[in-house]
Amino acid sequence: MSFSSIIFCFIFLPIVTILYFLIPKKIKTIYLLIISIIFYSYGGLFNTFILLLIVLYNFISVKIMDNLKNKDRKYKLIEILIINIFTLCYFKYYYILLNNIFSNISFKQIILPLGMSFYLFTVLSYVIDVYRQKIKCESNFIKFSLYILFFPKLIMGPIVRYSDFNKQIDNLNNNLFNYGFKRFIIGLSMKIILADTFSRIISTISINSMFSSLILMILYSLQIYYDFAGYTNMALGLSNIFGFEFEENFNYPYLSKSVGEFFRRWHITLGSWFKDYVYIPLGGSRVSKVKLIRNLLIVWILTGMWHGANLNFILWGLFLGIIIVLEKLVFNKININEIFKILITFFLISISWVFFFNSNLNDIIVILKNLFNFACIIDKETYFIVKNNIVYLLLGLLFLTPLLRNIGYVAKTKFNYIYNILNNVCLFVLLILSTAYLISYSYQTFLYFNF
Amino acid sequence: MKKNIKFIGYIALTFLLTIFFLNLFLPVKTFSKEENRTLASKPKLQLSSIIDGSYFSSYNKYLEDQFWNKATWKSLKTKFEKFIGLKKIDNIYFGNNKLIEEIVIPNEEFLNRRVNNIKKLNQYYQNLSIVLIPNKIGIYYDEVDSSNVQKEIYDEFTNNFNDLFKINSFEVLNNHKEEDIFYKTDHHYTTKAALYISEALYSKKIDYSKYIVNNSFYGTSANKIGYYNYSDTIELYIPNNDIKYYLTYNNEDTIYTSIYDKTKQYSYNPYEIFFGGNKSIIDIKTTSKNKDKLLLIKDSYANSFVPFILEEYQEIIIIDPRYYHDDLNNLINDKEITNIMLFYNMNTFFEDSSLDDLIENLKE
Repeated sequence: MSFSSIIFCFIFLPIVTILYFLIPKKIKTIYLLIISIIFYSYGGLFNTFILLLIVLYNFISVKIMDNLKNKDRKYKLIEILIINIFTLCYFKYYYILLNNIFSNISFKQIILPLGMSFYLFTVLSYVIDVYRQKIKCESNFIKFSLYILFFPKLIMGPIVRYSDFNKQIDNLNNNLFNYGFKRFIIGLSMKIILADTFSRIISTISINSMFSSLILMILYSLQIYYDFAGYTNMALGLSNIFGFEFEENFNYPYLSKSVGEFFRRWHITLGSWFKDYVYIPLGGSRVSKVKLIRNLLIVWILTGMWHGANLNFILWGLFLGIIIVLEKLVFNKININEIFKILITFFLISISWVFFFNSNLNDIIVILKNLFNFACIIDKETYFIVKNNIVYLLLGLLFLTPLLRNIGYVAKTKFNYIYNILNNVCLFVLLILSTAYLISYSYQTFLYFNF
Repeated sequence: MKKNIKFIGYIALTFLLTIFFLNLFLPVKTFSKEENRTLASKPKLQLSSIIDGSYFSSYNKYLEDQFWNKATWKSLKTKFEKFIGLKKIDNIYFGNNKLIEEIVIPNEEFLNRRVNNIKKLNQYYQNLSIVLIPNKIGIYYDEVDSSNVQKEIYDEFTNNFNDLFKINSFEVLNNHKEEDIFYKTDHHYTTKAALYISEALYSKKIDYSKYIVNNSFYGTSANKIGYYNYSDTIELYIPNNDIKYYLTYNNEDTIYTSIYDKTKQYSYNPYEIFFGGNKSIIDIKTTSKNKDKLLLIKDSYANSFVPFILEEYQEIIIIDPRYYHDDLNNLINDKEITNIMLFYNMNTFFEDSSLDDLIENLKE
């Protein structure tokens, strides 16, 4: 069930929330587990079955592993890792691989169960953390299941660590209810008013000038940010409503001064997952230059592959990996104005989205080629599109920065009373507007659903 | 500190619940006049559809369709977008006090196919003529910040068939640019514009009586974006002559004595007052002394044009290739057709390929 669907906003969310506050405290955990399963079953019971199987398998295996010592423990870990990773690879890559190798035979398509990339990474972090004895093995099946299945984060993250979850589960914070709705509304508007609009604008652009290429790249950057950060805001807001508070996944990434910094501020929980479970075990950055380059490229190709098996995602990861290697070895030693650094980073990230959005290599080449189309710098159609949608574009760029939030902080200290009223009114208006947009278009699915 | 916001949770939850109950207790609609389509019905609860997930996605469709005051939400969105300066929403431009539909630009492949097919048709039947009516965007191009692309397309296309085009409809309509020749809220031209076209085509002055059918008409474009700031008036211009006629639809037995279907006057789509809407084939026999028999291959732009040409023909067969799939050759021979006319608005003409299918299926 998508957070920005009518069925979620106008049936599931209000009913589930009301009931949550009416039921006794004792059964809240199991209640959350049940509604999470209902939420996930929206897409069919087969996927739910697989998900529950994975949860059961890992719960039991990790318990067994935790009682083993030394080599046996290690072998058990390897077995668990292989089974989980194999499951993910089977659903994610098997079909595409077969299709590419035997292009003349048609296979029954295997569709990746919703959110599998996210929930299996959650599972893996738990397995490895228990193995490393960083956390205690969970003996309560309900709690363990809820950790994996908790619906706000089940489908598109953030990837929550067990230590973080475990701290809160017995001690849910009911004071986050209003704040949670605030975040949910902000996320909903980011997705519905901005991301979906940018996606519609993108579909009207045809590439035939330098300007059209540039605008397309900017729109990619805006769409994917408002799509994913909007979703994350909804996910974190929903978590707040039910008393949880998880780590942030975004921190104004487009203000980064390097590509490396960008990915410490973009999809933070995935980046730190790769850091903790791949990069550092490989030796991290305290190794020789050659090994450092190897480690970075491995991490980035894996990151690309995590997003999909298509060549374009691998190119995307490789492109970013190379840039980050160059940054570590060369660029970071160059001293230039910070504004330039932000602009150059934005430009490089925008180029990377060209790979991300286009699975067809020819399309990628056309877009990149037109960046240097000095014969046709600006074309009338794109000019009209930009002029028509200028307010959307400016709003999109404005909310990439914390400007409005900072103005809010200042306003709050000076005119607290008026600020509070205005804040509530604005959020309510946003909710009404989002509803209007939501009803106007049959909803579009989130970009990250595919991963 | 940042987390101590009050109220919004309660406000939002109340709002969501209110809408939930409104949707729940709202009578189920089966048809939407704004969208001109049948709405999704409540899916049947079946184990198999829950297992494969189709139940909930159908239910979401049903909810989308049945949402409380759906059209008002759409209007709200359009008003907001107009407020933030959008000049174009969903392929509809805001012109000066009118909604202007986006132009259709055919690609080369489409154009070549069309040109070849018309040449082919003309080889078989010498008495072919074509009328292409510009759309609002062809006449009021300056209101959408554009050059007159439709005129360029028209000139280029007509160059292929100089003698098939009896009139230049751009010139005809441009002469009346200041009058109401197009509906403000609908993609059709008005009966008045059809009158001007007819007068030019048959080089005569038509004497008529005017009737108002509906003076609060919101057309397709208004409904598409939910913009209801102005409405239109549908008028009928009935020629003052003593021609009598009767007609049949789709080769059925029922005989009608009027082109106008008065039951549609206040319906959701009052434009269907002409012939009761689009039909695949219409056969009109008249008391005209003229012996000519016309085959009119057309789209809905011809609906308001037909009343003006009844006195020119003994019989008029009207087909809409979007719905007509029989053999053209048989029809022409059976009915002893003497003249063929293609009558289209440019956007449909350059978008819809059913005309090509019709001609390509001609039996040699």
